[in-house]
Amino acid sequence: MAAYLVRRSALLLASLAASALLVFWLLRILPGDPANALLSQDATAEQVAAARAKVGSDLPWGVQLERWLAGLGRLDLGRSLASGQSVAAEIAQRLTVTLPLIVAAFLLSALLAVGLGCLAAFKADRWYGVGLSGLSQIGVAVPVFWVGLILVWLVALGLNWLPSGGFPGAGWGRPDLVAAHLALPTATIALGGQVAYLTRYVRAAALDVLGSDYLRTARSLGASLPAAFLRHGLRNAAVPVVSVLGVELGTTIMGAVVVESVFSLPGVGALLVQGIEKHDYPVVQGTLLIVTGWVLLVGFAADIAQRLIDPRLRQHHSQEAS
Amino acid sequence: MTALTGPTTAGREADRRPPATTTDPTYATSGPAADRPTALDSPAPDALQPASPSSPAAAPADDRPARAGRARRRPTLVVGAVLVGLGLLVAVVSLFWTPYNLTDTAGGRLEAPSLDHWLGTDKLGRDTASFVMVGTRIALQVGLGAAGIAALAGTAVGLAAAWAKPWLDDAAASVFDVMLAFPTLLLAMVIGAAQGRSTATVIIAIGLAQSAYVARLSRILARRVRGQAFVTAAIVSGSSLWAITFRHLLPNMWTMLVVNFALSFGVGVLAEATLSYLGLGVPPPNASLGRLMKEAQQTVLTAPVEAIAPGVMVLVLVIGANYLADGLRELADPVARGRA
Repeated sequence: MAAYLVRRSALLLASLAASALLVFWLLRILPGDPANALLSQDATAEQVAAARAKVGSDLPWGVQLERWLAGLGRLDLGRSLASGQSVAAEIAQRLTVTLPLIVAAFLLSALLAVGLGCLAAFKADRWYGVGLSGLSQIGVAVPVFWVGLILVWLVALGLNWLPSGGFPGAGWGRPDLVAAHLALPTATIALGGQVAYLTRYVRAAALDVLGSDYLRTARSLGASLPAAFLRHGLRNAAVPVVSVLGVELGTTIMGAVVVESVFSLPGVGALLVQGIEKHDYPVVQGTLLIVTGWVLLVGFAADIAQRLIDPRLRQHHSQEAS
Repeated sequence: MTALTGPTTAGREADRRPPATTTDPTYATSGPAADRPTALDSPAPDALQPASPSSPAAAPADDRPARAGRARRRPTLVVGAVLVGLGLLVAVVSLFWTPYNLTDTAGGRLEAPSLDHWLGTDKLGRDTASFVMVGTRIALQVGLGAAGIAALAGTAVGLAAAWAKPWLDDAAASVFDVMLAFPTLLLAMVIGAAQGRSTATVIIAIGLAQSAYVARLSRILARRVRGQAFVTAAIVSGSSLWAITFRHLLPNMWTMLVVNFALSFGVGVLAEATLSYLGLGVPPPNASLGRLMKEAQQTVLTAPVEAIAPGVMVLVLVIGANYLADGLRELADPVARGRA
């Protein structure tokens, strides 16, 4: 396990470094100059040159890369071209909106998916088991912002139960208001694909366990189905589910990017979209790095969790290493 | 998409080469033993390896279509074909005829659906049905174009990696994995952003963003076929790499690639709608289902149909594509059918 931990950590660091390089390279290889963010349509040649010098886009790539990596070492992501603010500070501020949204949506989705997935597996031959499978097909195909739109229409504007968007000015000084403003976005991410997607995996994993020989043996020894499932099945079913949960918690951040736009929430996703619209390269670079870093970190945690749950994976690995 | 590629974390572990493999790629076909780690990585429904400790991670994704197949073996394909066909029909008709011209603002503002305006009108008095029809055409264009680019670029890179020297192959596999850490939508946003906005840009951006999935898939498929005896025989008998690729590898890979094409089409349609909704997609005056929904959002209380209709169209296309992929997979894979 220790050897695995070291190797997996090394892989995480390598992936983080690779993604930092990829983010840098992706933005440089594409046409379009970051200095355009500072310029009007009819800028003169001198103005363009001055803007490029200010932004640093006239420097060779090597120097730019060096600056970017040196900044990363100091946790400095540069300054926004549009606002002049520190990108790192801006992201940290906005994470107080995005992080709670992601975590709440993920917890809601995971809870619903485990319940619904097990129900669909245990009652696979009943009409509601089949119905749940059909619903999950719709769930994975639905655009997340469309779900948000319909929730705004029905719950916010129609019933007037919850605000239709925005974030309280007082921020976390008023937790009750924050909760009210994050309720619909959370439900949107969950219903706009995540529950359906996870339910399919939970159902498949549970079906796998239900069809296994060891469960049949346990049943033949007199254990009731729920008892046998809880005692022998749960851990086995959890292994693949945890792996998918990890991938899903990672990509929830993309759901947040879209949903923040639907509900005009001042989160990291909204910052990214703004940055892209304004060609504000430091902002795009910084937010991209945070998003990818989140995906990679969560994947790392999921891999470790998988091995904690399933001793066979640990064993298998040490055999392979020897 | 995800059902095919499976959890990426599982693959990364299993994807190390065994020491049995020789360094020369031409002779790196030391039989089934060399193939085992690749099979663990396999996203394909047929399980080549017996249940090994790390296989549970890949199992559920493989198992789902197989079990579903028993209940609706034919219906899956039929439903998928009908839904996608419906979208195609609407798109083709919109080439020749729409109820109103897109610039026609003669209708009343935000009218409810009627015989004159099937889906009502928007806040400028334009006919929503006409916009949805043209938007469907754009969605199909982007979906098909992006899936095509992803298939061509991804398969080429994947095959090249499968034939490359081991260190290069390992490096390519790691690059695919890092690219997969970028969600498709995010990559498409970035690629599209710097290029200026046009329909072609959106197609290329979504296509390139998806190509890492295809590259990863085709590399795994190619390596698995390459490990089999008949390919070794072809190598020994002196066939060129090109001949082996086209005569042996691709014919044994194409069903999975077609299934994946259907899935990437669905992902592409969703990505286009989302990009347009965020204001980063197909620019006006082209109609886009995503932008229609964005514009309808402010007036959803007075004219809900205008917001609902484009979403239903997206749903039809994506569900259609997913069912089509499932149906094709069941049709092509007797193993999955047999296990059902």
